This record gives sequence, C-alpha cells and structure tokens, in this order.
Amino acid sequence: MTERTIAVDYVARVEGEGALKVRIEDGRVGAVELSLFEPPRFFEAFLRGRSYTEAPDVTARICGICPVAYQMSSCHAMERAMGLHVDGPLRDLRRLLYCGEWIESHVLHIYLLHAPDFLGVPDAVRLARTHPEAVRRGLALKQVGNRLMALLGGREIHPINPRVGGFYRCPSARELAAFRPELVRAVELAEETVRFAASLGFPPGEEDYEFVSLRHPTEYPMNEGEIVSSSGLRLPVDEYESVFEEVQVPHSNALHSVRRGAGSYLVGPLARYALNHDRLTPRARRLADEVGLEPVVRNPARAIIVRAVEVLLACEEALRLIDGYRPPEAPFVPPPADWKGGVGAAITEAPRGMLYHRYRIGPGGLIEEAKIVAPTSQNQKRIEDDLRHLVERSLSLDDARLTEACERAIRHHDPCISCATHFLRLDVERR
Amino acid sequence: MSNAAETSGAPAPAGDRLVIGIGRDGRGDDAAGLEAVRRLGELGAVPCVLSDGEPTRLLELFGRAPRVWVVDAVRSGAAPGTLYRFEGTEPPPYRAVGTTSTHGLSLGEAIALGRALDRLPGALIVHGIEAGPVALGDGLSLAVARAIPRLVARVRAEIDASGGAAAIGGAGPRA
Repeated sequence: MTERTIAVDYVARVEGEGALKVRIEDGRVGAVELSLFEPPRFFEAFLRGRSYTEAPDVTARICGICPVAYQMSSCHAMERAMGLHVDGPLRDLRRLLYCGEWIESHVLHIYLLHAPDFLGVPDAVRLARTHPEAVRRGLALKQVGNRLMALLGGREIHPINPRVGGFYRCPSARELAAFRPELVRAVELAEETVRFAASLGFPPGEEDYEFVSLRHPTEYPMNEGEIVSSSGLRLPVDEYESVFEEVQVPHSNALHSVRRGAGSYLVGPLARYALNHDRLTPRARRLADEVGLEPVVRNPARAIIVRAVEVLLACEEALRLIDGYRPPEAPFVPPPADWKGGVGAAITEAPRGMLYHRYRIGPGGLIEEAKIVAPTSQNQKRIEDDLRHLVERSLSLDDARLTEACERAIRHHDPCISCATHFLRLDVERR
Repeated sequence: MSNAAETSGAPAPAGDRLVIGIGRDGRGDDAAGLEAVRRLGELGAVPCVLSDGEPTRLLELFGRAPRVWVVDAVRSGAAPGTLYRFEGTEPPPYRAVGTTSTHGLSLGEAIALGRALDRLPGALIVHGIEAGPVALGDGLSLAVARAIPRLVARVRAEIDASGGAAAIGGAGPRA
C-alpha cells in the first residue's frame, strides 16, 4: 500500500482558519474532512437570557465581513415572532444597507482574495504590483460599500444603527442624495469588474450542485423570499428545519448542514444567480450575457464572475433605492404593546448565502433559545464534495500542486470560516 | 466616554495626524489596540479612530493624514504585554493577532499593499503590544491590561514630540 501525507498549516485568503484532511489510499480518494470551530455555537449560548433587542448587535460580532447579514436575520426573526411587518422606506433602507455589505464583501473577495489565483500571483500585494489598476478599481468600488455601511450602519465595522423594527436613526433624503455621484461611478466600476472577472482564465470542472437560495416574487433576493432549490424544493423560511438539518461529524467542531435524506447542497452567489437569473436587473443580465456567463454556472471557479454581476446589481439597486427614498415618519416600528414573546425564524441572503436565525423569546422579552446556521456551515459538506472530485481528477499532481489546487477550490466558495471556525489546516494523506 | 471614533466613511479629519487602534472587542487581548487608542482619544487633540484592521479600510485611513500611528496587538512569542515600535516602511516583523478577521490579510499586508499602490502616509509608526489569549468572549489579560498605560504614555509622548502646539494636552489649535 502506498501512502503520502501533505500537511499545510494555513490556507491563505480565507476568512478565519480551519483544517482540511484528505486521505488517498492506493490511488483512491478516501476521507475528505473539513473541520471547523464554530463561534455561532458560542453566540447561541451567549444570547440566552439576554433581551431580544440585543440580538442584532451581539450577533453582528460573529463576523467582521458580514455583520449586516447577522443583524438583518436577527431583526427579521424577532419581527416574525412579534408578527411585525416592516415595509416602505424602512424596508428600502435595509436593502440599501445590504447592498453596501454585498459590495464590500464581494469586492474584497474578487480583487484581493480570488483574482490572484487566476493571474499567477500568490497574493493581493503581488497583484497590486502586477495589476495596480485592477486593485485600485477594487479599492475604489469597495470604498463605496464602506461608505454606505458607515452611513446606514452608523459605522463601517459592526454597525450599530439597525434595530428590531427598523433603525435608531434614518438618514435624510439629502444625505442619501449626496451618494448619487459615487454610485453612478460605482455602477461603471462594477461593469468593468464584470468584464475583468470574465477575462480571467478558468480551470475546467463542473459540479452537480443542488442550489438553494431565497426567491422573492419581484426582486433579486436579499432580505426576504421563500426557500427554493434547483431540485424543485419550495417552502417558507420557517419550515427550514423540517427540510435541512445540522448533523454532528466526528472530525469537526462545526455541525454540517444537509438536506434530510439527500446530502449536501450549496448556498451563495452561484445558487442565488442560478435560481434568480430572471430577477437580475436588465443591465446586469445584459452584461452577464455579453461576457458569456450562462444562466446556471456550475464551475465554482467562475463564481468570481457571478460575484461581480451581483456587485453590479447591488450598485444599481443602491442607486434606485436612493433615488426613490422618502424618509419614514418614524425610524422604527415598535413591537406590539401586548407582545408576550414567541418563536420567530428568518433567512436573509448574506454575501455567502442563506443565513438562518431562529429565536424563542420568553414573556419578559428575554431570549430562551437561539439557533444560527451560517452559510459556510451549510456549504461545508458541499465544499468537501468539491474537494473529493478535484482530488479524484488530480491524483497525478505532486503534493505541492495538489495542495494548492485544494486551497483554490476552497477559496472559490469564499468560506467565511470565522463564522464557523478559527484555524484552517490542510493535510493530504496518501497511502 | 471615549473620543475615539469607530472607522467611519466621514471625510478626513482636519489635522495632519491620525491614530488608528486595531483589534476586536470580546476576543481577549485582540482588543488591546482598541483599548489603548480609546484612552488616547480621551486625551483629545489628535483624531483617533478604531478599526478591525481590514486592509482596504486601513488604506483609506492611511490617506487621511500625512502622519499616522497604528496601535495593534501582535504575536511574536514574547511575554504578553511586551511593547514594540516599528516604522511602517517595512511590514512588521511579527504577526498581527487580528488576522482571523480579515481573510488572512493583516496590518502587514495592508502596509505592503499601500506601498505597492503608493498609498502610505509620509510617516507611519506602528506600536505593537504582545497579546496573550485571544479567546472568544474574553476581556484583556492581566498582563496586557497592566501594560496598556505604558503603551499609551509611549505613543502619547511620541505624538507630543511630533506636534508642537498641537500636541496632546497642548492648548493651541491643531496644525
């Protein structure tokens, strides 16, 4: 029996760190194990006994890259528990804030984390030397997202302005209108980003994903919608746990999400795009067509183009929302006076995919139970499947090149592992 | 009440100097840079901002003043609370603690990126403090908490020496 082991202690350009072990025995791929720590578990426990009003601010601390997603999912879940419906300008402001986060998060991944893989450089610093114009474009575009986050969130990191029912403070029409020139420019930069991403060379390798995302009757999904999948699933968000479950795996501290009786699935840009291609803005759809992006993308490397299309959509949506903005009469909708607690669940589309929150609130407004399922937790098993297929196709590669290929395969999915882990080590063991 | 603002998209502060504290609250000693800069902010006179260390935001902050001080928790293997000073013309010789928050991109990468894109301030000084545990949910360790007054005094003295009437505690208007 032949055996080889490759060990890498750290996978760069992935949020947080984790560990991956791949075992190859006599030319056959054995175990592929992605193991992660899981801060959401800590936060679920930490939230118990705290006021429902604290959940948005506390859960925003789970991730430095997508705090808005945590705030939005927690606010919507609480509002569902209250039977509260937030609409009109407050709903628009939430979508605008989410646009800021999508722009920030996607642009960071496109230019600083993912693009180096396709341009023959090891990292963003080297990319800044070989392709300074591209990196400058990325920084300029990301700054627009940063500024939207700062205006609506109260600050760029860990926004403090959103609350259950709306916001603590809403911007004036003039404050938002001042953003218009920047967003007009951002739309242009986003178009250049789509063309830039589409010009990269991609390795072959299509996967047979079960895509899962939200779908909204009229818009590309961010805050609301029902759950749909590429295999025809369609259900309301509060039935999420009846179809998807988290299972313990011995090799990981993190729970793996699977579809009951069916196995892995994929959330995130590839899934959203495939299931909502008809909800893209006309401009985004036209440009996707123009650069040859098919309506369903199954090669995970090409997710960089899909993210760029979503950035364009987010910039256009932000512009539309700003142009139509009329300040609300009150910055938030208060909870019903006779509210005595209850259970509420919600899903919103974080940049990396569906983020599920469910809370049980007691009569005094204290959280009795919290459940949080991060996108990366849902994608973990699917990333393992991708890696298995990659290793099966790449057995002839030497250890160093195989390891590099595995790292790239992980980065295609932009796993926000700090939502689900702390250390990423890669071990490839050949026997 | 701290005068150190969280990173914001507001226009550049009117001044020629800026102090940036990097870190994450609630992650043990990773918050050391934030805590030190909050205290510097309370002393007034020099604009202070707090950041999670995300490189693109840091690059934006670097552009706000020609002289920038950065305070961050670092890890080199020395005793927790050990202080470092480093001119930002080269990446720090130690690893910033907060790399878990930024896709593996840290202060070192931000400085290198700034250099490649010609976006570093004229003067960039990094003050590091060796971190102990950085466990989720924890506050500062005793060793680091004890070292923070020394760190604050050190940075303050340097800023004072750099700014004449605009020094911390100085009565005159900012330069």
